Amino acid sequence: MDHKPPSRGRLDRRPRDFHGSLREALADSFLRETLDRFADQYKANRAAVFEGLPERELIARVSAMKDGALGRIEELYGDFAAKARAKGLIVHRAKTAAEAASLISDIATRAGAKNVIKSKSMTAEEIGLNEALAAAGCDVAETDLGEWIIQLRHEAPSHMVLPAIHLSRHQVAEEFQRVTKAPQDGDIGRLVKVARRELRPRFAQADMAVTGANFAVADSGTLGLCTNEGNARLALTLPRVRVSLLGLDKLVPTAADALSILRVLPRNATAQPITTYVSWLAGATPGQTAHAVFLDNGRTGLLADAKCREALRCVRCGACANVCPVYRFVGGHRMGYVYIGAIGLILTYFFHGKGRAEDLIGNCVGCEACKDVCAAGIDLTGIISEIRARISDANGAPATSTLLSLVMPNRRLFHGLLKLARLAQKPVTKGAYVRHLPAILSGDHGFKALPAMADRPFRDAWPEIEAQDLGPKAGPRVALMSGCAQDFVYPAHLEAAVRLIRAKGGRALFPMDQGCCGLPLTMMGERKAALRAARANLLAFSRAAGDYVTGLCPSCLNQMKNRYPALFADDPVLGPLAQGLARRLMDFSSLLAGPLGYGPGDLSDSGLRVAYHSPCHLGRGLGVTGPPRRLVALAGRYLPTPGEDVCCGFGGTYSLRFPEISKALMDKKLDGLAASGADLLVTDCPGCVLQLGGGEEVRDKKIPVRHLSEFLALNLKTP
Amino acid sequence: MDREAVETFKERAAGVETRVLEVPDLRAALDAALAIAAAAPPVALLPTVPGGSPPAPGPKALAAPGLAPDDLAYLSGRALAAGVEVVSQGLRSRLAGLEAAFTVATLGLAETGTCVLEGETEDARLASMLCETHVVGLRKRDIVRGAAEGLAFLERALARENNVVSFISGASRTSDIERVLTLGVHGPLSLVALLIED
Repeated sequence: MDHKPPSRGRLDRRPRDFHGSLREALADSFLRETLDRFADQYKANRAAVFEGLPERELIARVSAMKDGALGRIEELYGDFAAKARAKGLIVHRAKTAAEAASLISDIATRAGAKNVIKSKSMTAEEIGLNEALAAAGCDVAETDLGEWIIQLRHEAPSHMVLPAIHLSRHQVAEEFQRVTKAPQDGDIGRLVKVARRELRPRFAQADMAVTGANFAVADSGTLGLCTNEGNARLALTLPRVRVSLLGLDKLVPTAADALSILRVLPRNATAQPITTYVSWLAGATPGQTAHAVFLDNGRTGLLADAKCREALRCVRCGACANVCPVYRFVGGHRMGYVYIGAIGLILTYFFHGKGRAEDLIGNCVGCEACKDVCAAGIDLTGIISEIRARISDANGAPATSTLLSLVMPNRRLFHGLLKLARLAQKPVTKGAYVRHLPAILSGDHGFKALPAMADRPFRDAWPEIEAQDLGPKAGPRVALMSGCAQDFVYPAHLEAAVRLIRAKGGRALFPMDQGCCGLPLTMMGERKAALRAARANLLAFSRAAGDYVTGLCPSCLNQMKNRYPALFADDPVLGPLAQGLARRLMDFSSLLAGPLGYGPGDLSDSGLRVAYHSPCHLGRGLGVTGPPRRLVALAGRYLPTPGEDVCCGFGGTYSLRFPEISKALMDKKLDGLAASGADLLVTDCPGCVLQLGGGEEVRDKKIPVRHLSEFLALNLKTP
Repeated sequence: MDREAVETFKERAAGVETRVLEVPDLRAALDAALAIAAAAPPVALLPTVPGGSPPAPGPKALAAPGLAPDDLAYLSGRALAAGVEVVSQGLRSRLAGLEAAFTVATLGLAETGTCVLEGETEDARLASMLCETHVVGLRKRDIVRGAAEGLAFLERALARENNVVSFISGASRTSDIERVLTLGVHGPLSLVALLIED
C-alpha cells in the first residue's frame, strides 16, 4: 500500500480558525444529513433495546462497580499481572504515550515482525501507535472496516464506535478504487466485500496483531474484547505475536463486573443487545507470544483528581456523541482530539493537554443530554464546566467574562447596570424586540431578534403586586426565584406565575436579596464569581419563608437544586442550608400539577394546537417531563413534535460564543415546528423563549412562542 | 431443559439473523452441516497473498475440527458420498475456500441468542472465522436464560489456564459505511444454530 507520510487528519484538524472549521462542517450537507438521521434513529433504537430492562439500575451498577475498581486500581493491576503471567501472558505497563508506543515497536522489532494488523483501538490512536510502528519499519493495516477506510484517507476517526461515519459510500468507493485499481460503485454490500477480499491476505501474512481490549478481569488474568466484524477474533488467532493495548481504567475485579458492563455497553453504543463477538482470553494461547500493555498516560493523575476522576468510569460506548446536539451538527473532528463527544472534550484535556482542549471545551452547550445517557453515569457536563474553570483560571478570562464576573455576583451593581442598559437601548428598540443589534452582536448573531429589556423589572413592580393580595391564605407559600432573564426581560412571565399561585389559594413571596444563580458564570469558567453569586442567593432564599421555592427558569433551579449542595458540601453552615434549599425547591409545573392541584376544570380550552419544547435543564437536569405536557393539555390540544427534548441552541452565553451552531440548532427546531401544524409553541424556560421566540420573530410565518406560565394564566377560568 | 429459555433463544437468535434449526442428535447435526456445505454456492475464494489470485477452486469443503474420532469417521463417510471435503485440522494452511464449518457450543445464552464456545483450539477458532457459513451445534439442555445464569460457567472457564471463551451472536457484521448493516465482513457471512434435542 502506498503510505503517505502519516499526517493523520487530527494533526490538521484542530484548525487555527475554529469558527471557520465549524462553518465548514455546517456547510457539509452529507455530514449534516447523516448525523441527523443517526441521532434520530439512535434514540429510537436505544429505547427499544433497553425496553423491559432496568436501564437506570444497570447504569448505576456499572458506575458503582467502576468507582470501586478505580479506588483499588493498583491492587487490581497487581492481581491481573500475577494471574495473567502465571498463564503465560507477558504484562507491561507504560507511563506515557511515547513509552507505550516505543514498547510496542520494540516488541515488533524483537519479533522481527514486518506485517502488523490492528483491530480498532482508541488507545492506539491516543498513543499514535501507527506512526511509531511505521517508523520502526512495520507495514500496518487497520482491519476494522471504518478504521481501514480512514487509514487509507490519512484521517482520524470521527466517532469512537463508527470511525468513518463522516464519509459517504461514494467517498469510500473512490478510495477503494484507488486501492484495487478497479472501478468500484457505491453499492455498500460490494464495498464491504472489497474489504473482505483485500484484508484477508493481510491477516494471512501478519506477523503481529495489535488490538485494544474492553475489559481486563483481574481475578483470572483475562482480556475481554467486543467486536462486530470478527476482526479482533481473527487477529488474535492468526499471527504468532499478539499485543493488546489498554488503559489502566479497563481493569475490573471479576467476570461478573465485566458482564455488568457488557449488559450496557453494546446497547448504549449501537443499540445492540450484545456485539456479535465477545472474546475472553484467559492468559496466553498455545502457539502464540501474547503481550498486554497497560497505559497510564495521565490516568493515575486523573484518578487523584477528586472532581474529575469519575471520567475514568467511561466504557467508550460513544453514546455521549450520539445524543450531543452539537456533535450532530459539526461531527467528531470538531468534538474531540482523539476521543470524541463529551468524554472526548474531557479526555483531550487530561490526556493531550490544555492547549488541545481550549477551543474544544467551549463547544459544550451544557444541555446534559450526554450525562443523561452515559453508560457509567458520569457527570460529563459538570466535569466539562470544571475544566472550563481551570482553563480560565490558568489563562485569565477574556475581558467580557472578567467584567461580568465582577458585576454579576454583586446584585446591586448588576441590577443597576441592567437598568442602565434599558435606557441605553431606548433608541433601538421596536416593540418587544431590539430593532438594531449592538455592533458586537451583529453579523453572525443576527439570526434571531433579541428581546428588549422590560420597562419595569419585576423586582420594582413587586411591592405593588404584593400589596394586591395580603389576606390570609389556605394554600402553600411559594418563594419565587426570578432569574435575571425573567426579572429584567420577561417580568410578565412572573406576573402570570403569581396569578396562577394565587388562583389556587397560595401565597407568592419574592425575596428581594436574590440575584444571579451563578450558572452563566460557571459556563464562562468564572469559578470564584459563581461561588459568590451562589452564596448570596442561597442566603436570600434560606432567610425567606415559604413551603416551596420555585421559579420559571429551570436552569436557575437546576443550578440551585443539583449544584449548590456540591458547591457547599465542605461548608458546615452553608452545606446544610444548600441541602435544605434543594429539598424545598420544586419546578413550576410540578408545583402547579402537584401541591397547587391544577387539573381539568381549572383552565378553559384555548382551542389551539400547542407544541411543547422541553428545556434541557427541566427535562434532564431536574428530570421533569410529564407535568408540563399535562398542563399544556389542560388548555389546548398538545401536539407532540419530533425532538421536543433536543436543545434549542441557546445555552446561555453559548449562543454568543458559537452563533453558527446555535443558529443551526434553532433552525432545526423551528423548521420542525413549522411542519407540525402547531398554532403555538409553549416552553418553560426564558432562555428557550428568548432563542425560539427571537428566531420566530425574524421568520416570515411567525408561530408565537410563550412561556408555560403565560399560556396557562391566559386561560385561567378565574383570573 | 429450560423450555422457556429455548424459546427465547430461538427468538433472539433470529433477531440477530441467526438461522435456527432443530435436530434430534449430534449425528443429525453433522448431516445438516454437510448438507449446508454441499448446497452452498461455490465459495467466493479469497486471495491469501496480497495482490495474489485466489486459490484454484477445489471440491466444496466443510471444516470440522475437534470431533470425537467416531463422529469424524461418520462425517467423513457421508461427506465422501456427497463429494465434500472434510477438514478436521491444519486450518492455518486452509485460509480460503471453506464453504462451511461445524463446531459445538458449550452453552447458549437465551437473552441475547448467543452461542458460547469454550476451550477452542486454534483450529476451531480459525474454522469458525474463515468459513462462509458457521454451523454451531448447541444442545437444548445447555441453553440458559442470560449472561447472569452463564456467569458461574464463565468464572469456572476463565479460572482455567489458557482458556479462550467466545460469545458469538450472529454472523460477522459491520455498519461502518453509512451505518448500513451488512453481514460478512471478515468472518462468516451467515451463522446457523442447530439445536440438538438429546
